[in-house]
Amino acid sequence: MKYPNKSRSMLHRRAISSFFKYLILSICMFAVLAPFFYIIYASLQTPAGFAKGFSLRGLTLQNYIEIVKVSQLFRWYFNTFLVTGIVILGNLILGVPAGYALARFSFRGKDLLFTILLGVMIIPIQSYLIPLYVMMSRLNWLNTYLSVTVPIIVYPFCIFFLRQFYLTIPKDIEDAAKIDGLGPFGTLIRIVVPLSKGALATVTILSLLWTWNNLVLPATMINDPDYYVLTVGLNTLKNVHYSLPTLNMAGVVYMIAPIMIGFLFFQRYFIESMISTGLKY
Amino acid sequence: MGKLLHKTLHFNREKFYSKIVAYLFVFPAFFVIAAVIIYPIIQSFVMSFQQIDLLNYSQREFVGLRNYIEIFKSPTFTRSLKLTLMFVAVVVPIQSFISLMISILLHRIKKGKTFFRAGLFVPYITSTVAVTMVFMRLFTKNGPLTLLFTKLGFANVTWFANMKLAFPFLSTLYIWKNFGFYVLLFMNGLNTISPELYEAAEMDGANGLRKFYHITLPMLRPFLLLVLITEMIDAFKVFDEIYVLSRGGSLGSPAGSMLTLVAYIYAQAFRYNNLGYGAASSVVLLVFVWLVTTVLRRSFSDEIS
Repeated sequence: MKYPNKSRSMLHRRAISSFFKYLILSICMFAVLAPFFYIIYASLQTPAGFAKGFSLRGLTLQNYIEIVKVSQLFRWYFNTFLVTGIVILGNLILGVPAGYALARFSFRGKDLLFTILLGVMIIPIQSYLIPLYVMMSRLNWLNTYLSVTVPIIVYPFCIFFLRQFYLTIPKDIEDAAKIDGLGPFGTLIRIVVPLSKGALATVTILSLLWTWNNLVLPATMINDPDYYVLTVGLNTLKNVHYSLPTLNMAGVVYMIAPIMIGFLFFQRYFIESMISTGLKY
Repeated sequence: MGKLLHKTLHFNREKFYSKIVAYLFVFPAFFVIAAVIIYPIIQSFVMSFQQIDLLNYSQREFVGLRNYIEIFKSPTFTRSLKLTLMFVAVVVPIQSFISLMISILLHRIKKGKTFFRAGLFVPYITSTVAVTMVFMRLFTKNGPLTLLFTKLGFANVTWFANMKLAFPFLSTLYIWKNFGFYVLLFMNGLNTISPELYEAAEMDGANGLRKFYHITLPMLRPFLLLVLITEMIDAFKVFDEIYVLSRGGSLGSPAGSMLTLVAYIYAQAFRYNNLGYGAASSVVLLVFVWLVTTVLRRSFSDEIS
């Protein structure tokens, strides 16, 4: 006999408790993922077949073709990619130097700027949406890409995050670069940026998620279907074709597919990026 | 002497140059922040004291505290404020409980940690529009979840169009979408607890529940506060779900049972052209966020010291 009686029963108890842990987690996992399978199932059904009840027969890609015919889906796709791309680039290009300067340089007003940053970081856009709308309308930017990119081209949290990151990397390398005769711009681009790939990935992912999924800003600024992004476009499509769930679910697949694919490949980065936002308040 | 002077001059020039560079680095980002965040926030305050007609914007009228008095007298506003606070009061404890329990389970298993963690996180990164659209189908009359819930005695009706069921529907949807994020935050906190503490407790014969009360909970307190702040503020500004549910009609329907504070702000400003009321209620939102953060931040720093 390998184990004395007592520890054997303990092992037995451990196995049972471990089984229940996995059971509960699997139930949660099912509850979380089932709606996604429902989306895919509904999107592959004909409207008539869907109304009849569950069946895996007669699945078709018709909805995916039909939605392109009844809406400007590809145009909305293009708009979403463009807007998201501009916002990501903007946050990187404006955020990196600002975060770097706040971490490394000493200059008058630095503490004030950092306090301001901590303040605006927690303020929800809904609390200043009305003046923002008035501003965009007076600039004649409503129904243009400007009104849905410029207000979020700098996410204050991204600057904060970059600043915290630059505080953690050792200064020696930059000093060496200085001795080698690199100016501050050269140091930033050739030394600091390559050193901060992980932080740049976080800024990219956060900007991507916050912009791709953004509803309130484009819903407020845009009412011309030519400038809809996917969130606004599909919401409107749902209101118009409410009686066609299968069509709408195909639209949902189109909207969430790029994010899901990105998550599949860069899962760890997505999760770490989101954890970093937990430090916001 | 001349050499020394030259050296100090050179030194100052470099310092001066580095200051210029610093300003060049921070200027673009902070210019944007000033223009599209700080200026509008100030304008929110200004507009809250004005009567504004969007079609006749130049003819704004200073009305003092009238907007505030009017909204606090208006039953729609006070109801939306109550509803929002109730939403926070219902969602935050349930969500915290679920995510804390799941994070502890996840923390204790050996295999498949990343798999479960990633799976539970998927709804959080999915667009609210998508998620709400699916839930509308699941909880419609004769929808799969509506039928499931009839077995528990619920009526076979469209949940989000029913005055009694709209609120539970919104809460369920909200928790389902967001709890995965808080699981992540809690797991992050659990990782900071030294496993030796648990081993010592096990040596003393402590069971799971005792370990939870005497080690996990006290060690997790600072994280708990942090997560609570995040949860409260996020729940307080719930809006996208409601916008999608309104189907382009009246926001927060049926009968205002989902008219939360942000929905009220939006409806007043963009549906009824009452920008002054909207701005005044925006200030209420700002004050809430500020209050929760400062109060909880303060107790947080007390906790540490």
